[in-house]
Amino acid sequence: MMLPTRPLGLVAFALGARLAWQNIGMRRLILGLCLLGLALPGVAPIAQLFAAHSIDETVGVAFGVAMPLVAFAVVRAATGGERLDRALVAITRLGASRRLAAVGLIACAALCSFVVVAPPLTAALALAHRGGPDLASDALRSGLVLLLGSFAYSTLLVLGASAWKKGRAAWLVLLLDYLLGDGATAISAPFPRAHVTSLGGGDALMSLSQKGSSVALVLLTLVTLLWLFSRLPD
Amino acid sequence: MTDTNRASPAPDARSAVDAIVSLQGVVAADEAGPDGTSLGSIRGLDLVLGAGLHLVLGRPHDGTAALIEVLAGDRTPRSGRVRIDGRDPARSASLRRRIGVLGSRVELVGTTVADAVRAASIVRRSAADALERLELTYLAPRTLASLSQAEARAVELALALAVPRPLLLALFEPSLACAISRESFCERLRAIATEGAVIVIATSSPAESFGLPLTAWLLDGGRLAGGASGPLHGQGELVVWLTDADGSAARKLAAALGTRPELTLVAWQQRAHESTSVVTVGAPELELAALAIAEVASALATPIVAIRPRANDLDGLLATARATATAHIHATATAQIHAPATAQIHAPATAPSHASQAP
Repeated sequence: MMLPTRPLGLVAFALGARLAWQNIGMRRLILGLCLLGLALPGVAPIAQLFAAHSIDETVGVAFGVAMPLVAFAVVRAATGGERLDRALVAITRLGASRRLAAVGLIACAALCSFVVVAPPLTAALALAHRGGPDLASDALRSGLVLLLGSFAYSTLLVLGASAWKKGRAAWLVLLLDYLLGDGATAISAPFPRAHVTSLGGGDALMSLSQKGSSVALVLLTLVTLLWLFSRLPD
Repeated sequence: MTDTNRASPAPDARSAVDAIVSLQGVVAADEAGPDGTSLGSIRGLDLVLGAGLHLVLGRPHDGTAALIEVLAGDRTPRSGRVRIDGRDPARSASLRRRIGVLGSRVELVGTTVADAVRAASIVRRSAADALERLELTYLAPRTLASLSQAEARAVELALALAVPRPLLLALFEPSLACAISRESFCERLRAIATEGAVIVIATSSPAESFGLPLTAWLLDGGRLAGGASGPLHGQGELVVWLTDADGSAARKLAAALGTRPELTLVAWQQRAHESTSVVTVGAPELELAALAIAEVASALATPIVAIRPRANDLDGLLATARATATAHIHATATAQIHAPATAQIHAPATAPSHASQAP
């Protein structure tokens, strides 16, 4: 049986994404979407009660709370609750690059996180603005923020999943992001939560513009990916 | 008691010619247990392997699963160096493409067997007909979740045996993949061995022979039993029970079996209080040995009660290796105290841990 020649880097990426999708599955994705849809009406008032003073801030806090939790659940599902290198064994034993397979896994997890958080959070935004004139552009902007946030969180959490038994360092990453990322000072800058909250309409981080926070999320993703590569042999 | 031993010189663990695989001071724990817990580890293992079949005898807690994981490049060892063809398998994807692995846990990508084969064949084209080669095509439409452990291992073994231009095959307990016919498996092993690959089979069954010349190594508590001179020449043993009040029948049978070329070891023992005798026969091929016993017993009209492979023979091998290692340590200590001549008397001239010998 003749098969077309394919670049092995792309193959490793595709296999990583395939493995992640196999572990996540459509059922879990739909379940996550439903759960978040049901939970969000409860999250928003709580956020408003404790932290936010305006609709935008409420949405920002909701972004900052929902995004990491969903990304965490998706990454744990994608790795099958295993440490990253262990989760990728089926692929790496075939001779595929471990790093590129990890990138494929991250991409799949990020897209799944985006699919789960985007509809409910965008709907929440639409409801908050009650169909204002800027709804379409707001929804588009939110979608972009959520996409950047999904990639930043997935990369960070996969980095966490590469350490400790069964990748339990991901829990520490989630905790640190929750505790230290919830601020407007320099300490929060390395954590995606600060930027996602800021981009969602919450407090701006160190007076950083929206564009600045978007760039910061991209940079965070890249730096985290490089860190992951340094930990993960090929 | 008759005991026919035909010893052959053992290769040294550190001086194999044309080494392809080398491990230096490797310390690693496996993750073969439930929830990724460790069943065993290797502790400072030094091993150099050339082309051919190497049987590593031991149980997972002796480090067999850890050895396979390290050879497969699943992870870098805690310390020490693993080199296959001069490269580290944990850090070289191109090297791993030439390593076939059957690990302690089944690792397949996809939802069906056909998916798993397709995924493998994207990286290794030769995997496309892996199932056909081992007559497993009937499994292709099955979901991975529906496979029994034996079937899943058979699929993984088929993929491992389909590695193109293999440098190394690292197989953990391949006999558990019993959905594959032994003939097809042995035939494929022979083909791979003739291509000059190293085949490492980690097993707890010393009766494994695979119809190939092999070197056996004994892993005990994460170390090679017997140290540098640890290789054993693997063979199986059959135990024959006879109704025999005075031991004469056993003696005749043992004498007749001692002339058979397919047998490498014959020993007998009388159990007067049970009115039985036991004849132990060693051979590389147990089926041929059983045929030889049946033939001779039939000719002599020997009253055989039962023939069976020696069970848990690994215990015997380990006990022998530990005892020999103790004797070796004792001899070394004696040599340090007394004159060198004493050491020559005590120190084993050849490999100390030969529990059984192949021709």
